[in-house]
Amino acid sequence: MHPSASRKLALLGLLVAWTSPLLAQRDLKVIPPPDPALEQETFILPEGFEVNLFAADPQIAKPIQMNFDARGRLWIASSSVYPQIEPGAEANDRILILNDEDGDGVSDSTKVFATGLLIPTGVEPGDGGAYVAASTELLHFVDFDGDDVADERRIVLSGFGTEDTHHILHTLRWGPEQRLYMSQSIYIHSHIETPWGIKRLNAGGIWQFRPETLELDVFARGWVNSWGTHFTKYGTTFATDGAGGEGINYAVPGASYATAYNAARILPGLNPGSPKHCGLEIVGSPNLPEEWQENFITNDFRGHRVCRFILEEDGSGFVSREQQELIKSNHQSFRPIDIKMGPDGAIYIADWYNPIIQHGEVDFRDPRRDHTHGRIWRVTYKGNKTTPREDLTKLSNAELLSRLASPNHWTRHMSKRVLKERGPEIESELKAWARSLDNTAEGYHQRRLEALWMYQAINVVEPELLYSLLDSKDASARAAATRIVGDWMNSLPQHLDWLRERVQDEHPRVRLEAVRSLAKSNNPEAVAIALTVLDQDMDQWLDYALWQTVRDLQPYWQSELHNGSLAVSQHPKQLLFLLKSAGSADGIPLLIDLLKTPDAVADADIPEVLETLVQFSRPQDLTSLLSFAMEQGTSAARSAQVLSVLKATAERRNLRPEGDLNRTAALLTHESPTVREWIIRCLGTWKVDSQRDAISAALLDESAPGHVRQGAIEATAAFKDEAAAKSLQELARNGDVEFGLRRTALSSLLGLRPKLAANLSVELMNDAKSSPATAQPLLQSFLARKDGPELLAEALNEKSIPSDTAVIALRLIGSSGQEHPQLAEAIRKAGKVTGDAVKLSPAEMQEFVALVAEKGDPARGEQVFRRASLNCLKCHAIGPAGGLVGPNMLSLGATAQLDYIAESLLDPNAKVKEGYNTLVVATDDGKVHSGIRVRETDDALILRDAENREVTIPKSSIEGQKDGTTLMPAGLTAALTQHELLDLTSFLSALGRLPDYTVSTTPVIRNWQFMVPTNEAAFHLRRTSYASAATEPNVFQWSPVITTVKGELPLGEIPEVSVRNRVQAGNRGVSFVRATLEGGGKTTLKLGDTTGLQAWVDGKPINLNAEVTVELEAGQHQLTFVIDRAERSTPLMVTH
Amino acid sequence: MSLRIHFAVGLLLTTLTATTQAESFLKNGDRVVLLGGTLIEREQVEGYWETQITLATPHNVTFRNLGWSGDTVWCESRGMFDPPAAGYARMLNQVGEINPTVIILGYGGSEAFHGPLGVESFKIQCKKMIAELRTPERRFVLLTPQPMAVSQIPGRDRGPAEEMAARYNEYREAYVTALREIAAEEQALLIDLAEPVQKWTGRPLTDNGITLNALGYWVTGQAVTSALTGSSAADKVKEPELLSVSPLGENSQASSTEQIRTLIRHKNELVFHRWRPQNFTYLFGFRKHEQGNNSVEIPQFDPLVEELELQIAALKK
Repeated sequence: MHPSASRKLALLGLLVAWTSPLLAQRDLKVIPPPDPALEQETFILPEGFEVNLFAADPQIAKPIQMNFDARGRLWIASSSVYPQIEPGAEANDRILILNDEDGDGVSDSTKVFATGLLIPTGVEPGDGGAYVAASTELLHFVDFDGDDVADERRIVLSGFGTEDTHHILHTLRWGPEQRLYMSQSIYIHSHIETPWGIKRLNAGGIWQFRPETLELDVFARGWVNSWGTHFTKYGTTFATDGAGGEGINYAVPGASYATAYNAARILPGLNPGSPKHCGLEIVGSPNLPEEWQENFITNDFRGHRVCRFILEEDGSGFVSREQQELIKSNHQSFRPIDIKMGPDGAIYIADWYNPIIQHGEVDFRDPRRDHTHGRIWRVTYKGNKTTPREDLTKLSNAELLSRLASPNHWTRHMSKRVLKERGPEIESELKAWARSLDNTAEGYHQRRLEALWMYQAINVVEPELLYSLLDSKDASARAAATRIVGDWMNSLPQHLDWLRERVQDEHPRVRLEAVRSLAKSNNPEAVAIALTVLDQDMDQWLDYALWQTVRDLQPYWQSELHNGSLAVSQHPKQLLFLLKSAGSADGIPLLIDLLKTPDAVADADIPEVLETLVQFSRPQDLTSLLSFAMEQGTSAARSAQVLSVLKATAERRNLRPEGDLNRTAALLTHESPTVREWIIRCLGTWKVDSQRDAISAALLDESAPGHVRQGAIEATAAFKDEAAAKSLQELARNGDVEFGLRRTALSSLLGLRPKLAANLSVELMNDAKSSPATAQPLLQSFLARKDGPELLAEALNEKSIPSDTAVIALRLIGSSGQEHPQLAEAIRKAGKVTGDAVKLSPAEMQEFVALVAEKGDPARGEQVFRRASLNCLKCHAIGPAGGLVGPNMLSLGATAQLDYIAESLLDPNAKVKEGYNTLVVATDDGKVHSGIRVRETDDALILRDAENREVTIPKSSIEGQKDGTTLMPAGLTAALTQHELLDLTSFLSALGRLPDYTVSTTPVIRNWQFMVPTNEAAFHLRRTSYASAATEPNVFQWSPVITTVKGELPLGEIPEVSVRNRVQAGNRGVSFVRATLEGGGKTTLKLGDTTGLQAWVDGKPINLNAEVTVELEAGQHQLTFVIDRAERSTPLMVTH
Repeated sequence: MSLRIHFAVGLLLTTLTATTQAESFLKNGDRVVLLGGTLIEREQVEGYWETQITLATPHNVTFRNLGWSGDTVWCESRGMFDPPAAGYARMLNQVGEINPTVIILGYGGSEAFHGPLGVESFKIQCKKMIAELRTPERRFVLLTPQPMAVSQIPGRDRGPAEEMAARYNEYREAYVTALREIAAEEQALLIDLAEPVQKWTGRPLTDNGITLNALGYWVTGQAVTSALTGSSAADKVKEPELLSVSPLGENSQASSTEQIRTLIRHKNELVFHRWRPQNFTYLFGFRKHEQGNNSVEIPQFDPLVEELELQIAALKK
């Protein structure tokens, strides 16, 4: 084994031993010694990488943000006051400058640039000093005399909120065009006065600011605590969230993300289920390996890790995959919170160094909170030399321009900064450089993009270069240029034409940027241009971008839409998107027109259209909808849909069509029963009393289809009066009426006459036409009412119900999430559900066997067999997978007769397979053990108990023993309905006999474990990452699960772990499963479809394809999968 | 020195504006609350108005600055997690606790961005605010927003800046008119900040066209002081230098007036921690179940503020 690997394994052992980092916070007792050398020893890096200490306490303390300047010096915002100023204490926080004068990778000097600050949370050098985020203000400090001590302090902006000191203005970074990007987080409410107006931002978001003009905008909204913003070399923007769980976020201009204030729609992150990530950097350095270039690096400060992601284009967005960590540690105080590429091409990591994080959960004044330490770590790759440092401020314009092609990110970014600060005077040299670029060289388009950004930085509009980039062969360059059209819009008369072309671009991300740039226009035509993006394929990012643009532009297109001058009106698909996105009543008449136009609305869009109509229709719109529904030419399906809108609008918004609704009675004789059903439902919801007779007639019309009468039942119930109760009661009692209708009538009656409905329900369950399955909806309506269980329990008193119905009812209670013990007891009593064995007479057995052949279904039977509540698999294996307590059922069907199988199920003790009788052993400590005898040694007896555990009993302790019965519980089948029993028998008889129920010889992974969805697991996962399921498996509870006989793991049986933050809407659960692989050379895993899967072998991520080959050393290896349940519902099957 | 002349002109004009003030508006023992947006909020950092008034008046007067950037008469900046109306209610409570005798309102500047259509509702809401703040012994002062100084709006592209400033200044007129009407109807003292700013020909009074810088406060402070005290402190408080370093740099070399200004700014900072503390969410907001125990620290700023006020009063003599 490689030495680093063995060290890694040894440390892995340590890792799994600790408890969850956050759970440990409040109980933290042992504060680690602050020696940096001890901390460094805990760091595990990928092979070939090394780490050194760049700077540490006492020179620096509590670094919060860091950024390099153009001379290669590192600026640090540092706070000892955090989390809260104490009365009487001085706000004495500092901005520090660290300088590695001799370039040996260790800081040689620390200057205090500014002091007297209150919790500075961001620093970005620039404009002769540095911008500093501190409390309510964005400050600018200037050093006039070059002594590295600030001489002037100016408030640039004020009014940032301070409701939480780790949410206040932070994460300052120059964008590629040299605007200052800054973030605020979820609890912050900011109100900034600028000459351009009052800018307000509630909750989180990223600000975009041009200091020299004070133009301040919100670039994107949301996130819980976004302490990382960065741009790819093409300016595509990304963010991380220090309290969110979605990993890398693709920041679409103007979009909203989780927790955004007042956002009707949000975009997700790229790595749902990630830990909280702080800081964001993109690797670009000749020092680092080729495969690391353009990787994303960020910090999991809770999990003491520095993480790495690889992003790939996916439609107009990206997919992001986590890789092996850059640093992994178990040091309780290692808190990496910022990460930057340095001038030498090394990676610098700010370590806030604190055993206590946060100040919400742990007291402000907790003595364990560290206020004095802090480190900067520097990571290099041993294989390559670092880049020699240079002072960019000493270079000529021409030299700086040539640096724009540097592969070293710091060089490129900082050269632009210096050029920008030299101002418009660089323009002629910039122009010459842009023209001199070799159009055959690799990176040509990216360099021209750098030139374009330089123009933007010095605020010079350059349409010629812009247009040539819009037309460039490089799609990423086109996308970046398209964003700049939005920025320069007011100076580009031809901007709409240019964006029109880009909306039709072949690359979806260019289309997305064009759609978002159009949102900055105030021309009503812009929305029409944006909507033409619908001509090509859409994806979630594009759909969102278009939706947002339609909303942003609404003030400009609304009136055009009214007067009919909006071009979209001619394009149903575009108009539909516009109207359903609008979020207002204005477009409703047009939407109705669209609905009237044949083939204008695709079936797939119908649900959204109907929902929009329900949400925004006004009474006059409802009137118009009703007329449409009543028109001769309207199709029955459309009429029914429209009527469903009218009913829903009346229910949800208490609005109905104008005028006398008796006119709708004409529809009662409509030839389509569906239309009749819906008008009846409407009449009920509208409570049109004069149509009561018509509703009653429908209720009693035996020739009418069931759904019409169902509608009539609900319409009757809607009147909520004595007459309604009477009709429903009569219907429910009428044995001639179809059972389903009687049941619906009772469910409706439950709302009017609860007690009576309960009594009648018990009667109905005993009705000859009743069956357990048909009674189920009725039982559900009781469980759905607060007083329902009690009412039903009372009604069941002294009554009896069929036992199968009782079984179903008990199972329903079991899945209701509540115990309802009183009702369960009443049901057991009424249904005589017991645990006794069932003995069949020969004639009954013959009948049963015939029924199995006739009605049994082995596929359903396998589901019954696998049902956790029956515990079959706990004891019985089928082939290599399953319990060993009972006989292996590998070839049961091929060897046993049906009646034998049936008897074994119904009366397990009738015939017990040899060797499966239990032994009951009494020991001298007063215990009784029972199990199957596994083996016996000279001094011990080993039993296998019903839990599949081996129990070793010292022979000397045995006081007595006797033969017991089988461990197979009698009465097991009492929990089954007759159908289920037939299916189960059918399945067992198919084993080893039918191909799908025969264990094949192809090696397939059968024994899996799934992660138990405990709160602790969810808690840990929210704070670490999915990868921790693979890297720290022992933190979690795992429970065995085996595949079906065929070898598939049905996902329906695997629980979902709730890794999502509470703040996030929707439920997109994930599941974790793992299996053990035997190593020894190359192993090819065949996965087939890999949708929704990520995998790790021994904690290292593997790239998934239909076939994956992994090299495994001899011994056991852990294969771990995370399954995104939103993406995947098909079973998992892995052969090897 | 031309400064003195300009100052004299400013003094003359403000005296004309406040012609009804034969004697000092401020009385001994007055507790002054300042309410408004950035105009008021930045004064707590600069401290010129307060220093000038303190030195100009023989009376003992104390100040509590409750300015909040971006605020309007609807208290749009004060809602935090709640709607502005809740912030408005909170403001009324805070003022009630301080129980001032004089309230200076610096509103209208942010509202003016909304243009003429917003004037009427501004006037109604401003009067409502005064009515709800009013007690028999309270006197009110209204400050008018100064016009946008187009030449001081940064950036090379003058077109948009000129357009914005011209539009804003036109809008502003309507709000100033409204403020004059309110002052007349509510018997409030109106102090016009536009006049001293417009008469000034020295270095820029703002860094961005709308927000006063240190010099801006020093210049407008003359007008405010004159209107409130009937006398001047111009010769007592030095004109700010071009450079200002850290906000609370203690300097034993400084003149006693500069020392007073330092104490005032320090006092203002403590007052800020008292009424608008950081971590509101955990101390008083919806997560107070976690760190609300630490809210006991907040009133501990009160004695510290009082101590500084004693020092200011002592130094003034």
